[in-house]
Amino acid sequence: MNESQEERQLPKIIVQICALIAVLAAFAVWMQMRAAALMISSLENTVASQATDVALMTEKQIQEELSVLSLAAGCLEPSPGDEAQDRLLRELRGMEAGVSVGVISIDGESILGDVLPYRTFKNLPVAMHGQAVVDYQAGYGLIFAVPLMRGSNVSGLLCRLYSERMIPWHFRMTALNSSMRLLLHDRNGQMIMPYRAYSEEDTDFFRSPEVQEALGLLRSQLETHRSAASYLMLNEKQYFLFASDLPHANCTVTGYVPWGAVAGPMTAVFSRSIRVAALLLMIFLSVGAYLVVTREKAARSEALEKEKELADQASQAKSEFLASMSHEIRTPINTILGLNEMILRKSKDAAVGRYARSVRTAGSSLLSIINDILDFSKIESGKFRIVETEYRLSELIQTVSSMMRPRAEAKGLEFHVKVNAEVPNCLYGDTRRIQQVLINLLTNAIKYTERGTVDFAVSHAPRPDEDKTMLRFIIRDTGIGIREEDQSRLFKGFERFDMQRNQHVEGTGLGLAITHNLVEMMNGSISFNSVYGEGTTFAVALPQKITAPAPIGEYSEADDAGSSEEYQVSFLAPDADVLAADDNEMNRFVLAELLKDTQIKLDIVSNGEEALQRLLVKHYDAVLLDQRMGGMNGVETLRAASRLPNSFGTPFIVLTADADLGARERFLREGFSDYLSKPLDFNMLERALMRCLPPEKVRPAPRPQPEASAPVISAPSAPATATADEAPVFDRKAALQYSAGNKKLFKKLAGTFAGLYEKKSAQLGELFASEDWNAYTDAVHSLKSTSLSVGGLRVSAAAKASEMAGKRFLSAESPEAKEKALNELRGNHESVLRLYGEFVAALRQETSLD
Amino acid sequence: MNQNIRTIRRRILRWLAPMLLAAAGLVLLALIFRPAPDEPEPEKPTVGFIVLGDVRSPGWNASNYEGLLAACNKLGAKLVVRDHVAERSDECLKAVRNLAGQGCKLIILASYSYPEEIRPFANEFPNVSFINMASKSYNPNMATYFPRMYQGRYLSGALAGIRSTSGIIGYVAAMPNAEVLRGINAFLLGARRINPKARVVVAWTNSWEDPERERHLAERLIHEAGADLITYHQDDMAAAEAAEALGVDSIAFNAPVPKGAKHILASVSCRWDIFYQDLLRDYLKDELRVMRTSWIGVDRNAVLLTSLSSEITPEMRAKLDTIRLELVNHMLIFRGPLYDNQNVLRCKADEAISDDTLLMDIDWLISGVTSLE
Repeated sequence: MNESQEERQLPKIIVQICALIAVLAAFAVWMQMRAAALMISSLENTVASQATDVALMTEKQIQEELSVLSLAAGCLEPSPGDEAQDRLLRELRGMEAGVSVGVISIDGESILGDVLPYRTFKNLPVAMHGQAVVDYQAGYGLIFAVPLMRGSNVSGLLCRLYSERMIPWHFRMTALNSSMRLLLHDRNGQMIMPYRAYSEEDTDFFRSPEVQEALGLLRSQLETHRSAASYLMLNEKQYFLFASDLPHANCTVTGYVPWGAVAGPMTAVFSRSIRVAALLLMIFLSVGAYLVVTREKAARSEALEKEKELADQASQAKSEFLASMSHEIRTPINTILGLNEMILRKSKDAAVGRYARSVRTAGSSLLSIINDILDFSKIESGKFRIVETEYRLSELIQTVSSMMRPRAEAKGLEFHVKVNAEVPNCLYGDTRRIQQVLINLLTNAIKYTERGTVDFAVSHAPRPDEDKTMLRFIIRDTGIGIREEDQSRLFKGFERFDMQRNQHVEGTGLGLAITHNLVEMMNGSISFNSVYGEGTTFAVALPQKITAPAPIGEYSEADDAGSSEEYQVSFLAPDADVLAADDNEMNRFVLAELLKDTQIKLDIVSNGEEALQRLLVKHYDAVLLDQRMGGMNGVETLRAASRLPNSFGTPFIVLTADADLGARERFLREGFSDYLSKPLDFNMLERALMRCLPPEKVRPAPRPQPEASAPVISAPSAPATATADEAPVFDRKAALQYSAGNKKLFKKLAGTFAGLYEKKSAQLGELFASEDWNAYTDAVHSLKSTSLSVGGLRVSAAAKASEMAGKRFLSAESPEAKEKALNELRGNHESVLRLYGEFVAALRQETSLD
Repeated sequence: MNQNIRTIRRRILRWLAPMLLAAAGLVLLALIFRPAPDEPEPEKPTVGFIVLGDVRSPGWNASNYEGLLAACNKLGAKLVVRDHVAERSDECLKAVRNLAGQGCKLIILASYSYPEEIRPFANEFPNVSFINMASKSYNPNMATYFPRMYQGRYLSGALAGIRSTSGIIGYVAAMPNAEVLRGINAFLLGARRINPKARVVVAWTNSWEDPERERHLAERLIHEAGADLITYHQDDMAAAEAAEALGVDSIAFNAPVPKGAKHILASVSCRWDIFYQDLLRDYLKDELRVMRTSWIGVDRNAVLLTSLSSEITPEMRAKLDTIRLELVNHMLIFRGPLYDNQNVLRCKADEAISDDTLLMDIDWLISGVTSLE
């Protein structure tokens, strides 16, 4: 996460925290409300059960009152109207005023004791059915009545009436705590019995609409409940109202208790538990927030890792794509180069030959670029391996030098090879890769050097342990050098510097990166020293094992001979039968054309199945199988073919573009006798066939020109770039080149040329004598081109000089210029005739030898 | 490998952490708002009802059941019914055990013999309150509730007194138990209030439900005893139907009167829904513990004459209503002097028969009642 992101995250976090706090607060409020409601309802239950208890106690008082009366009633009946009855009634009445006791007949008349208002009390008649009754009537008081029984029949009621004034003094309802205020109400809400110390304030309290409303609520609850309680807030004070009906009586115990008296200790518990809950919630949310943040971070780093993985995969995919593309490109180039080779061989036309060579050069450089890319991507993907073998350093140096010298010289550069004689010759290492390194460095040196020298020095630093040495290669040029700022990036891939100046220099920019990687893979080191504009020195040090202590000795340039450009078939095998299978038509054509000169009897098929059919009916001396074919591939074809009797002992050669590390070993393990990688190297193909074919069917190809015939006329080692004066009288190479290597054609041309000599030379002489300069110029022009086509380089050059002089004479305006050209023409005439004669003589000798 | 483990661990952390967090949160909330153990959810009271016949059969069974169901629905109680429970077998006890097992705290024994069968086992169910209908049995967890049907009988007797011209009223009755006898006695008292010479002839079926016999006896009462008005105390209304068929007036009992049966003057009915509401309220208020017997009558409008026929004139209605209001104001029906039909004084002039006696100890027919020979 970078700074700006972090800054952006900050307000987000603040918003989140605020949201969290808001949620927390809302939750806390909700929780408190819920808890308060819960608490109120639980307190209501408590108060209601207290009310039940109070009611029970009151009920008990009533029952006691009634049982006393019942007892008295039992005593009354046997002897009505005597002294004992009066005494009993007096006892019941007691000493206090406001209590009346009397007996009422079944008709409702007072027949004994105090006169009681029977009809006033609505429930009293119920007692006539034989039940004890408690009834209240406002203005009269509370009456207790029990039936007077005569046998099973009711004969009257014994009643005790407490006047309203007396009620509180007689019934001391026991409050459960000192704050509890109790009253007896009748069921219509009329107050019967206030608690003592009932004041105006209490009257106001009970008359307030809120309390009345609450009482109504309690009444409706009492319909189905023993007792009920209700929370009430009045004038900022909190109360619990409660009520419980008394059975048997039309009375209700009602009361109220302040909040504090019930909830006092519970409030503390409540607030404490709220605090604890809030704390827990806070901890919970903090931990939650922390975990969320952690998770976010983890997710982010995971996402980064995933992205990196994806990027790596993409890069890998690109490398692989590049590798496969390069690989795919090699196949058509192979075809192009193969067919171009055919053109080079077959074309008699000098111009076409030149074009074809250009195609070859361009194709080769394209191939090398492709190879660079392939190498680089292989190095990138780790598929590149070092394969070590025993080799001779001298051969390596010669190969490299012979490849680089012509290029250096073609650019007009001096190329020096300097080898320390003490360097051990027999070494063990990856000669192919060392060669690649050296060629890369030397190619660069030549490429970036316009004039001056390219030096290639080989030395070594002996090591204490005898079997190892540190080879040192120094490549020094006097080229453009490398800018200081570019030096650090030198060994990175796809980098080319100084683009403006080097825009004409071709290449992928991968060479040095590959070189650097190769050297490192061989445990070596590479360094360079460059001064911009003055030149660059690359130093490569490679540790190599010594297999034999022999030193390389004096390096001889003589061995470093340029190879002949001309293609020559190295063997003939007219009796050999060879089968080739390849599904690519161009490849088949190239293969057929390449092997045509060997006179091998070649059968070509387009797939593995056809190859098997041929093998079924015929024995072949060798089979060439393309690995990648439609249907059966090379390996499958080989496996199937190895079971056929005809193919017993037949060598199979695989042709494959699969040039991976270990591919050769893999194919040999599969049972192939040899392995040829595409694009096909014609020499490799021939060599492989020579090895594979039965020796009795192979004979060396006839040499087109025996070396011995040459010295008579020419110096064979003369460089091709020599000037006309130094040119040989007869240049066989040039002659063959212009005949496209066709000796018959050359002979034919040479015979014609020689046959015309007498006539032509006489004509030249006549024209010179008659001073017909116009015709003379035409004649030397003709001589110039015809002699060149049969290898008469010197005579051609001389003729050309005369032609030029003749043209100058003809076109000259001033007499001085004409005179000068004429003198030149005259001076040159003799040498033209002489060289003409010499050349024809050499030519005759040449042609007569064949 | 390491990276895999790390990725897996991270993934686990990614899912596990919020899950643990959520779980912790839930546990926390559950802890905070767990209902306290001493605060049980108020459970719905469950009422058991045991009855002899099918609760769908009209008459006693269906009217009780429907009334109880209405009361339960009104007061938010759950009703569990066991019908087809035979008397004088162990079936009632089985039904009680089953209902108690289902959590019934109030079981209504809605047939005369049940309480006797249950009483010896009642202490096995200390948490159950039994309701005993019109039986002598008693146990501390048994309370007797009964409608003052005799008030209805008194009213219907008055109606009979008004309508009957012969003054002879036929009474088809099941068996002479306290309930039936006090009904007959109240009926006669009602009839004599209008017509002091009125008589009642009772014909016994010895069965609560025997329509054939009831019909037959009703016809005999009309033809042999000369009754010009028939009433009955049975679970079905065959007697009234028989009278209707003969074009003779009748008063039904606890039954819906078919339309067009204009000779069926009225039905002595109980509003069982009101009755059971009062009962359930008492139970819910925990007052059953102090109630030994509880009567619910005209004063609660639980007992009344219904389906008054078009034959009854407004004057008759007014007369009946006056008597009804007297009853509401606690007029005593059974007040002395009362002689039974053997001329024994059962209640002196300044006495009234108590409820307890009415409930259990009426074994006599009042003077003026004779049995069909």
